Amino acid sequence: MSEEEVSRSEATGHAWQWAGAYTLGAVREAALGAKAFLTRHGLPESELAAWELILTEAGNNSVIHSKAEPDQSWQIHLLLAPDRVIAKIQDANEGFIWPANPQLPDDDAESGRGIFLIHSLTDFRKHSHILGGNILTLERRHTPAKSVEDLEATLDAMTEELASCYESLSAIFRFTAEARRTTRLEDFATSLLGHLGTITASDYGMLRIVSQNQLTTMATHGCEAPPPCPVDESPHPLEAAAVSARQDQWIDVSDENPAALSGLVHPFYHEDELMGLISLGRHHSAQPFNAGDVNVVHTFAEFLAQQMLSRRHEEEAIRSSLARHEFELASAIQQSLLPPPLGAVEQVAVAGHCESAMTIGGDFYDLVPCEGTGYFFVIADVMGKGVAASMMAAVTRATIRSLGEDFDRPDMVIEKVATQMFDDLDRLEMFVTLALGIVDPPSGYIRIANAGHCPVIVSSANGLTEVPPSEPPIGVGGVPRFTLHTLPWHEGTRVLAYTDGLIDSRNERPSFTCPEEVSAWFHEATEGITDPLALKALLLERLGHDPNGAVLADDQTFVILSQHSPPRTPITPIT
Amino acid sequence: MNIERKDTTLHVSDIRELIAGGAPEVKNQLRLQFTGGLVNIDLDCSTLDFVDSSGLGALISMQKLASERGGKLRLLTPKPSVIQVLELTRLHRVFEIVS
Repeated sequence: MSEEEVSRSEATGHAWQWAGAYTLGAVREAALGAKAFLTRHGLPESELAAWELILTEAGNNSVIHSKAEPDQSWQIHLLLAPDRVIAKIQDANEGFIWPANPQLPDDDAESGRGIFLIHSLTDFRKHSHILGGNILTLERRHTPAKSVEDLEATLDAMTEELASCYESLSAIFRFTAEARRTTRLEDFATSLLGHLGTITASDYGMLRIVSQNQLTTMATHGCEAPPPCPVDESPHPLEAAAVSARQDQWIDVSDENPAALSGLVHPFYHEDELMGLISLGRHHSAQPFNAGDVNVVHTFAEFLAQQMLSRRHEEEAIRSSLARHEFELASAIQQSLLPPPLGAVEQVAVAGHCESAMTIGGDFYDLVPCEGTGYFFVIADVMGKGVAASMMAAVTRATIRSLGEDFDRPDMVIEKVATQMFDDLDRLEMFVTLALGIVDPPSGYIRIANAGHCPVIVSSANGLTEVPPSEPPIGVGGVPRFTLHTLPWHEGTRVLAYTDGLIDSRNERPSFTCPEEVSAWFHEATEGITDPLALKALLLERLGHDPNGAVLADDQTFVILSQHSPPRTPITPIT
Repeated sequence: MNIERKDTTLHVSDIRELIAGGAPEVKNQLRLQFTGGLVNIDLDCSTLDFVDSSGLGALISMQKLASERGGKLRLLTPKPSVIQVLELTRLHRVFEIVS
């Protein structure tokens, strides 16, 4: 390789010459050598960068398309005139036709920009085929060295540019403060779009946001607000393209029916979710947005997206708080539907317990004192949890309570409840398991009907009896005839009716494993205890009940009835 | 060239020039490293002094690599000379430039 700086006879210029091998490494060496030569002659940085790129592209072109022999070289001759630099690149390749108006390839093309770059950076180009090779002549004019006045003008321009940057930055700070003050996001967005228009010299602007898969116009300036439309059906081609390609689309004067002479449609995202589109355009100029303009648009869009998210979180927090309040009200109402502590009727004492897995649930129990008879009891479990289950539980309870004249025949009560509720349960694809019974000491019997519910346990000195579900839950398979189970009621008989939450192993508490275990525990572990409150306390202890403990996976509900006479208070004789 | 993995992003830095002589090697290196759960590429351009048309081709290739996985290429703090080349070839519309 050789580098030689020579003085030429031209009175006003200097020349530089380079020759080297057909390698990409040599191209880089030549470009840096030329840059060093031009640096020594005081060319400004912009000219140095331009010539570094021009010569690199021209050299790459010669080397990549070379069919030269190994001993051949290609050369660069530079001539520096006061107002221009002239370069001649000579190679030994086959000739080709230099395009008169080279175009950029598609955005995703990985090659084909070299000649476009040379063309864009030079003022004159001539490609000549000579004997054994080609000469490419390139010229680029530059501004002669500046006077002091010119330097002052440059300084003014730089100050102006700096002020513009400052304006962008200060606008962002201003918006931060404004966002805190403004209660309506629409007002804030209108203000932001207006400022963005000023900074990017746009006289057309539109901000559309995505809400429930619709594009809704939030702010405009210099144009009418278009009506809402589905996100992927925007009537504006560039909006549709921006949504589809997930990247900026450029308003170009060559487009069909352009919205402006130049501009940009920017889709902005939060993570992968499209938040909206900002369109900005200039009617007065076809000058495309530069990188600075694009950056400002992107920064502002990101800022707006954050504001939108912040507002959305606030709204969600309010909605969540309201829903929690509604839930608490529903829970209070459901608790109020459970019977209060009740006294003994015909020596039948009662106790019950209902704890929902969520704040509200589908389990419930009911106890109705029947003067002269005893107690009518209900234990039920509506499929599911939460509001829907609790509403159906309330309806079931009310329906049963309306059938008071039939309490003597629990089988008839269930049949009537099933008849009344079947259509609704069927339509809602829900069902209810329930067991009803009447404890009737005067008659000496207890009568029970069970529709798909856990067995009702009847324990006495004579043994243990379980009343199993004889028919399916109500809401399933039509309305059958329900079986009435009649059992004797003795002194010391105890009844436990419960829901399947007591045998749900998902509860992070010591639940029972199966109905047989519940029956055995009740009959054996509590033998002789007839006070329902004491039995309730024992059962809760067995279930690991703790109001502040682990949350249940399924509701736990039970009701206990027993033949129980409270101990009499001894009478102290008056002396 | 320095390549680091940060979560789902391949962070590439310490490149001084992206030119015909070195761009294919950069492309190959990134293709080899862009594995596993990586989705995005962040190219720290703060040390990048010079890009030619082959270097632009390498950037397009990186962009495609990331897009294929639903990610993107970001050019972090490019120097004015690099921005000028991007603007000249209108690729500033294609790449996300973080100043």
